[in-house]
Amino acid sequence: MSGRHTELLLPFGSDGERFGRAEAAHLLRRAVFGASPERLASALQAGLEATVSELVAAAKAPPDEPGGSGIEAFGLLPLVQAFLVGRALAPDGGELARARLAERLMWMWHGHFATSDHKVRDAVLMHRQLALLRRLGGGDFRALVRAMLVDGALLIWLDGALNTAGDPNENLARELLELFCLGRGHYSETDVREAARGLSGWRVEGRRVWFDPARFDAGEKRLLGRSGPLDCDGVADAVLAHPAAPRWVARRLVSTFVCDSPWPELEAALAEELRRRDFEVLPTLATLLRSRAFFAPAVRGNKIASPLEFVARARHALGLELAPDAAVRLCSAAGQAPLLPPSVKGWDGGAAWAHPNAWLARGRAALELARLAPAPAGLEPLEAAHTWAENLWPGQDRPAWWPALEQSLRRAAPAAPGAFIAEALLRAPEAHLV
Amino acid sequence: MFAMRPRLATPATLTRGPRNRCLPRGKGAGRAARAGALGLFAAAPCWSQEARPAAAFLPADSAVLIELAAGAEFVAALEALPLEPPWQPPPAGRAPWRRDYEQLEGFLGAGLPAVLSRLADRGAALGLVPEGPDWQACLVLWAADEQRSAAELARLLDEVARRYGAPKLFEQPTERRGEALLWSLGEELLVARVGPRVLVSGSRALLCEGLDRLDQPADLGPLARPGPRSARALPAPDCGVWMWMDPTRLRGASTEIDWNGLDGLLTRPEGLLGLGAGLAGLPRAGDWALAAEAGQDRLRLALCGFGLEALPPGLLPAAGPRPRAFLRHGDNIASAVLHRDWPTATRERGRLFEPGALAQFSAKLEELQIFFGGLRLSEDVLARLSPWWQVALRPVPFPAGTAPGLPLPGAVLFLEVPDDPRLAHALEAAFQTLISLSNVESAQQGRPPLRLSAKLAGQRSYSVATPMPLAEGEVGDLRYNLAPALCLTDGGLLLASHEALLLDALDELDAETAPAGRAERLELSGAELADWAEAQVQGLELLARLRGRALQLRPWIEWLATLALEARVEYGPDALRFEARLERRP
Amino acid sequence: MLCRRQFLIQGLSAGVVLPLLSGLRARPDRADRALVVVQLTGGNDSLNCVLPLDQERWYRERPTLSGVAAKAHRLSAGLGLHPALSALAERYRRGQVALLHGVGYPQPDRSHFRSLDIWHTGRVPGDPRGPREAQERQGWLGRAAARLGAQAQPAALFVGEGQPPLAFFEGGRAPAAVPGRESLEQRTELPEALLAALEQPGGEGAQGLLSEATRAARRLGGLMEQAARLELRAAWPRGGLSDRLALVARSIRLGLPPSLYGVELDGFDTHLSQARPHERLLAELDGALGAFAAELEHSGDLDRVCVLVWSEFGRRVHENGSGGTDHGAAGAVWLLGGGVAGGEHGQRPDLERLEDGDVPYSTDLRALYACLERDWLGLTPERPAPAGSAPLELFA
Repeated sequence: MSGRHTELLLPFGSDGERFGRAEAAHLLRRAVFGASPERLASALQAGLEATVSELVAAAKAPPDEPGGSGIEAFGLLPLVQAFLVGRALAPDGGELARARLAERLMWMWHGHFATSDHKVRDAVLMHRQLALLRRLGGGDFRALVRAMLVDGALLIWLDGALNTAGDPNENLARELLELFCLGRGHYSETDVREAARGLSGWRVEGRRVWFDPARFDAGEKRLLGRSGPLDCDGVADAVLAHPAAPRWVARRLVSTFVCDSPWPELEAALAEELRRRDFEVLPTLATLLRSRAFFAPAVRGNKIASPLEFVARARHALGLELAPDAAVRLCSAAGQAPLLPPSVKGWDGGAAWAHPNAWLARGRAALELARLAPAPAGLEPLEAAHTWAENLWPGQDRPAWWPALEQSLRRAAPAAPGAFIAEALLRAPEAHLV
Repeated sequence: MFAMRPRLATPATLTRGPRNRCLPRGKGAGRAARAGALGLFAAAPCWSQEARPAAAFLPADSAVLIELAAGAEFVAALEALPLEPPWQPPPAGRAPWRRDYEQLEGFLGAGLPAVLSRLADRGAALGLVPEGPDWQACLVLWAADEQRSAAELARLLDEVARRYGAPKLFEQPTERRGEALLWSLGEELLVARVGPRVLVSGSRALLCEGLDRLDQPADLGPLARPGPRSARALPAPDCGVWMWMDPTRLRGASTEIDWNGLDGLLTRPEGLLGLGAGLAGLPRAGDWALAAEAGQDRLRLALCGFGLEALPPGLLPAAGPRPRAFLRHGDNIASAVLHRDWPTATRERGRLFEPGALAQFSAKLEELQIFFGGLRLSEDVLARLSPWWQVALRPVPFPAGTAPGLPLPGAVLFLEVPDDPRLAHALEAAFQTLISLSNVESAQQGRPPLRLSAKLAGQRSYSVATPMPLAEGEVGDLRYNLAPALCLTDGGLLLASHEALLLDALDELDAETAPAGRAERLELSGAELADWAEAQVQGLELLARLRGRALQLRPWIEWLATLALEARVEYGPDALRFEARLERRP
Repeated sequence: MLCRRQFLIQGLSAGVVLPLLSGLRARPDRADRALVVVQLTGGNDSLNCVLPLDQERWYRERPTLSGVAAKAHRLSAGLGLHPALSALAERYRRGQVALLHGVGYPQPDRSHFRSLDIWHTGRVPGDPRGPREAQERQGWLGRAAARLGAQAQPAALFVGEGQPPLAFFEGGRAPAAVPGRESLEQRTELPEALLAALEQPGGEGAQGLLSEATRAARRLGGLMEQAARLELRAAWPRGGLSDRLALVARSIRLGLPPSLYGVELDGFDTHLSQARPHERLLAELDGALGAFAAELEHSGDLDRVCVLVWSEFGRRVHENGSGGTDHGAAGAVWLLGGGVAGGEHGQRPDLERLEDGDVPYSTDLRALYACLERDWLGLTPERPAPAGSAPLELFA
């Protein structure tokens, strides 16, 4: 895909394109893990502009749940995992659901700053990090990076707490440059060393994070053209002043919301937008979600859903009452264990989700989700199948295998038609495309 | 309780009309009969002296006697008590009870209390006689006067007849026997009325036995037998149900209960040291009596066992030291005083336990011996503990800044031990070893360890294992509920799940010195539990939500807040009494 | 793609000459071989399994635990096996068990997690490694599976609940995993025709990829189901490990794609009152392994299977105050199979020469892995054995 740089971000509809059911569904699937038929209908009625504005406005102040910080009282990883996934599953119509874009961003940043409890071994620190990602994830990216550089879980994960003046540890500095902000090729090894010096002095003990001047390397540093006695804020500022930084963030946004494979022109345009918006993520994202590029035909339905996206979309579109801890189990089996990313790079996503090993688990997940499907009340099985398919893929034609489903329904006359239909729908490749 | 199936089965034929069901079949009828018996009759003076009680007319050979007095109040009180938890939706087994009850009332054509008040003003009794695998039953109802009895009986028989499509079938009795009028409902049920008394039975022989006894004023029937007589000597409830059972004959007749298992309880450590000699010994008693009383806001149940010769001697605390009254302050969510005779059990395990269980028990003792460095577990430690254990479950008064996010109730254990420095040392060493082991585990998991230290409380020293101190403003997780502490003092051992509880208990130790009675007791305070749950509502609901269950805690909290349960086991010279009392506080 | 075995069978049915068969049977093709890795989690007390009966110190340091010497299986002079390991002792006598003493690595780490990671990744402390390797999820078996070729998919299969061990991860991806017993592939009610229709190669791009993945997954699921239905011929004891190994045995008998299998048995962290719990665990292990070997022997597959039994560390020589033992360093590793060179390998632990109270390692685990990769799986070892280590001849 190419397209003129400046035209890509023009608003969708400016050339007379219509914002119909398929478009609304595409938007909600990518932005908020899918939606119930009611939410889709109201989005359709409100129109693209208003819907995006509402999503963004709600995401600016994500609500706390009753008993929200109570999850830290348990201090158990499975509960924290269930808690976080539960927010993505909150039913449409409630207050939590309106701010679901904030959750979507949180999961994006979780994959970006991929920190694993495997090494941190403290569910409370992990929860605090994710809460921070949710709180600051939509705002100024620079503030987010500054806050993350002193986050307890990240410090433990990347040995930031072992980084002292006399004995520098470059792990955190390297990942900051390579994975979080700039990407390869925009810095040198010297920059890594200097950045490590600037990030020294932080300690983590139990759950307490604090700055110890005795361990801080207070000397002159030269980092990416800036010099001075930089501390962690100084390092963050220096790194993010680099021209490659907006491009890197844009790349993350594009790969999360638009397409799995790189799209340089769009990334460049979005980087420009991010710069213009002074690194504010939500407004930039809003522009992206309203843009022509986002609704391009090659983009729609061409992205492989992560396990969480698959499960959450099934839950919202079909109204399945899925327990959060069951959802965690299904996602973990399919290769996306929350709070346990496979490496510092996070989850590869895209084709990596479709590895046959993980796909067996998706089949089992489809089966288990289907068991939650309600009996189609008052509807003939065939009608129910149509309704549910319409809920999952609004505005789209029935897929090529539809006749086979109809035939099976007629022939098999299953005892639990709801589960039968739901399983067929959820096993189909289309259910795993977002 | 027991799976009885009294044969009040369907009559095979009726003299007229199509073949119909006369009465609900088998099981249902049994339950109905039981419900009816447990049911009740109108207020009546208890155990009136002028005439023999209704139970006197039951078959002399009965293995089970059930007697009712002041029934209407009993039933009304039962219905007023909130015995049913606020299930939503109700679990599978609940609904049938209600259904059966409604079925019975439908069958009777009127509310149960009303019917019974007309038919059994002065008492009612049910006797059960085992015959092979089946049971025969006989029911005696004694009304205030003859007219009421006659009228109600006539109405009931009319109902039955109409149901089976033969309206005038029972207008006239099918036979007369002396002064008694008899009706045959099919082949299997006989109803007789003589004066204000009505007798119902599936067996002609039993019925006639009762009728004949009317002519012998001195004959008390089953009440003359030693078993029922001694059972009745117990303080009877003011109004309610009294029941006597002959365990020997019950065994023969009812195959569904694992009698061997129940007997065997006393020969296994789980029974003897788990349930206690009292409860474990109950199945072996010679006679059982049960009394239930429901009053205003109160339900009381007493189960007694007599004739305890079968029990091994020396197991019951009839003689021996009495426990100090302790751990009884108002904040307890639950508290218990238990008699668990570890000294006798370990000393005489060869004689008390069955071979298989003995081997396991000895093996376990050997394994745990390691903890007590040097001392022999059975002779030096267990044999010297007091058999009286006192346990309390209480909310923990966490010191400021150490409270976990979800505070759980803590537990305290008090045990009298002789004043012996070696023993004290061994017990403390065992405590420390346990803590060290758990620390190794924690280190492996990357969690901070508990820090062992010895502290002073006034003049007493105690060992405590505390978690790492929390930072400013930080809230601890579940692990902060535990700060185990052990204190050996004043001839007693105090073990608490949290240091703060230990310190409180030490204060109590100073206050209380009077000995308590030799009864085991258990107390549960619904109000305290409700208070605790109320404070943790958010946390508990969050937990339920994460599991996908929307839990409505409020109804449960309200239900619990009104209830209090107290249970006791008392030991007499040759009788055991287990009593439970459920109270409702407004 | 036909594997050698299938070709043989087909050849036979077409009347191919027998001599061809006998010649080939002698040494099964490397492509056919299977490696089953049994992980004993918690730190198996090697000195309580492989008993140094002739060492005075062993009896002295372990007053209660050395009681097993009385009923031990005598394998050779001074060497015994714990009484519970009867099937293993029997196989040893038949030359089907190779016992490799003192396997460990330099700078032993006594933490479960770190030691497990070291064994799983094959990277010992002091190994030069890239900055990111500590955070990357991949292990030696995963990498071996990737190199075994893409045709036989999946090449590695972990049988058990929960997270598969790191050893099987490759490139951050989890290996194929199936639960041990029931719910292998929970019965789907959808008819074959519908499932096939759902897998139709749909379009290009993402959709095509997914259809392919669904097909591959269903194939795997089908194979596993097929395996689960196969009749077992040996007498298997009851238990979790038996169930899991039974599935592995069935899969091997059917010639299913995986060549690398993994199972786990937990509970070996016996700090307290070790005697009975350890005995129970060894009995379970022995029963399962014995039945496994019998099953494969029956079907003639034992020659092409090698079972590797290992633990993340051994335990200390000295019995602690609670009748148990604490974390140690090196331990023994067993290999069971028709093609192994039976007998002892490596150096017997000398309890007079301990390091810090523990048996020092005499065989580096990297050497073990190199041997397995080269001699059994026919791969070029990823990392050669460390310089100076004696060559291992574990296979006949």
